[in-house]
Amino acid sequence: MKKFSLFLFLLSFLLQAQAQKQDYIPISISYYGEWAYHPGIKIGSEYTFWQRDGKEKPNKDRTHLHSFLVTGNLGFYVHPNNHTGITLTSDVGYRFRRRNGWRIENFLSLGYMAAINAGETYKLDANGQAKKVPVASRSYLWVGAVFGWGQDLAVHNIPIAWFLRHTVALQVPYNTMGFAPRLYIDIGLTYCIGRSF
Amino acid sequence: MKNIYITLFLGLLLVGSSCSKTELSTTQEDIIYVRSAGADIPAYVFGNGASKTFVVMIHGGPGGDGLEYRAGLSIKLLEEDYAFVYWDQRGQGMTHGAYSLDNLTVNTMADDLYALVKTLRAKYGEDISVFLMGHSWGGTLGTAYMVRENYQNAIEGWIEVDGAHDIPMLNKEGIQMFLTIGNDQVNKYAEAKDLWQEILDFADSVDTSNISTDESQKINDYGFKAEGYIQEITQDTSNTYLNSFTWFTNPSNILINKSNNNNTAQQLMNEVESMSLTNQLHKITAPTLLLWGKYDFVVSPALAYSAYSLINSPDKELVIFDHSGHSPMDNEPLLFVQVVQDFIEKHKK
Repeated sequence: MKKFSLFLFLLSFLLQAQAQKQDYIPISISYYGEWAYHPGIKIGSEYTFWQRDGKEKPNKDRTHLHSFLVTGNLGFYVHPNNHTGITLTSDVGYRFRRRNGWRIENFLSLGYMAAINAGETYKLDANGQAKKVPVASRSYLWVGAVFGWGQDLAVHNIPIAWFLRHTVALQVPYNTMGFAPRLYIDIGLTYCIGRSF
Repeated sequence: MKNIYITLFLGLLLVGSSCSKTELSTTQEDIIYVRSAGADIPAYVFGNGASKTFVVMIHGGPGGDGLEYRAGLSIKLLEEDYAFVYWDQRGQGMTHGAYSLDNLTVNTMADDLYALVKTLRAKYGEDISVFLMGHSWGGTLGTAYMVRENYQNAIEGWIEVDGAHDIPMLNKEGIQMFLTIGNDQVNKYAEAKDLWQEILDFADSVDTSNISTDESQKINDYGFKAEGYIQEITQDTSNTYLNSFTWFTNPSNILINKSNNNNTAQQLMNEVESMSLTNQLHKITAPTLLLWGKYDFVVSPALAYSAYSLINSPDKELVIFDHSGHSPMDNEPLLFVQVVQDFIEKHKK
């Protein structure tokens, strides 16, 4: 319940922020692969809280953009015979978009991860009898760094951007070693609802 | 009234699912987890579950994983007769969770193993037979299990394969073996002199009454090296491959597996280096099979002879493999299978 409340808070924060300043709502959907090939899906949204146009060149109607933004994402993936991962993360970072729409971005990511065991899980009860634990999972803190690139088609008056993001994340704490390193890749699209040109 | 029926239905469903036993087949393939002291510990079950005989493989290391042992002709043949349970130990392989260093001890690992044995019975039925097979460091952990309270009553038998149940003793005996067998090899084979010189020099330099951690590590390294120089050791050349996982379905995450294993091996080092269970071996009364390679420089057969004389079981057996080093299952697979089968058939329910 606590985790769900956190998610709702994050979502409401983003939507409220959208309503106040950003006149469109970007919704992202992506293939979300742990080690690239453990498949999953991620949905998210983002809010640009600071943006500055680059210096316009003569005779050009487009310009590059510097932006700082925050994102909220819910991810789900399956590592067969190991675990199903659910990640609820928020990224904060910088994006640079060139005049032709190509862009790169770097984020710091913080969030929550649940790892659901791939097999039946048992635990000894007070009488020393093994009992099944229903939907056995463990919760972890998630800290990551994201590097991404892609193209914003808004420069062509299309309210869509595509992106490829690489994430190095630390699952914290992990056994006695503090953290476990994980690698992810996202390939997806962002559709900007209500974006006008 | 409708609500009562729904409640009853859901209740029956819950009771039914919690009590139901897993179906046993000749090609069992299951993954189970045991939750114990802050860790979720996986065990991969393969083989003939219909035999109702389960052999828990306690892997070497520390710093290994259970599935490393699912290889070779011996395991292939044994899986045809019994189900093998490839168990990742705490802090190794793909175990996960969060716990303090106080819970990373050999005793906690023995508790985990007990929880696994109880889990196997809960999942597959109280009428199954459970044997433990510990190799190398797995022999340390298996012995720690066997000497704990009544844990040995939960299993049908204990198979120790070149098990390191006394590290100070194995270090001392390792040096002794380098000197005796090394010199013997040098006298026997002209080409052996150059190969053995470095090891013999090292063995000569060690004060066996005060072996350091660094020297202990070198004894281990030279032990494997020396094994490679022994012409009398045979090898399984069948190239048998059992792993049924593809790159996609493989449960391992190599990045986490390696960092887990290295971390745990380092953190257990102090406890392990001084670990001697010889003075507790008399507590073992369950059927025990000791399997040792004659040319095991890593864990000398001297530990096998010592264990055989001290274990109190009326059903104990020692088999020395004349053409084996540290891993008789790979050096003499057919003989290995035969003696394991004989032991299990004699002691299973």
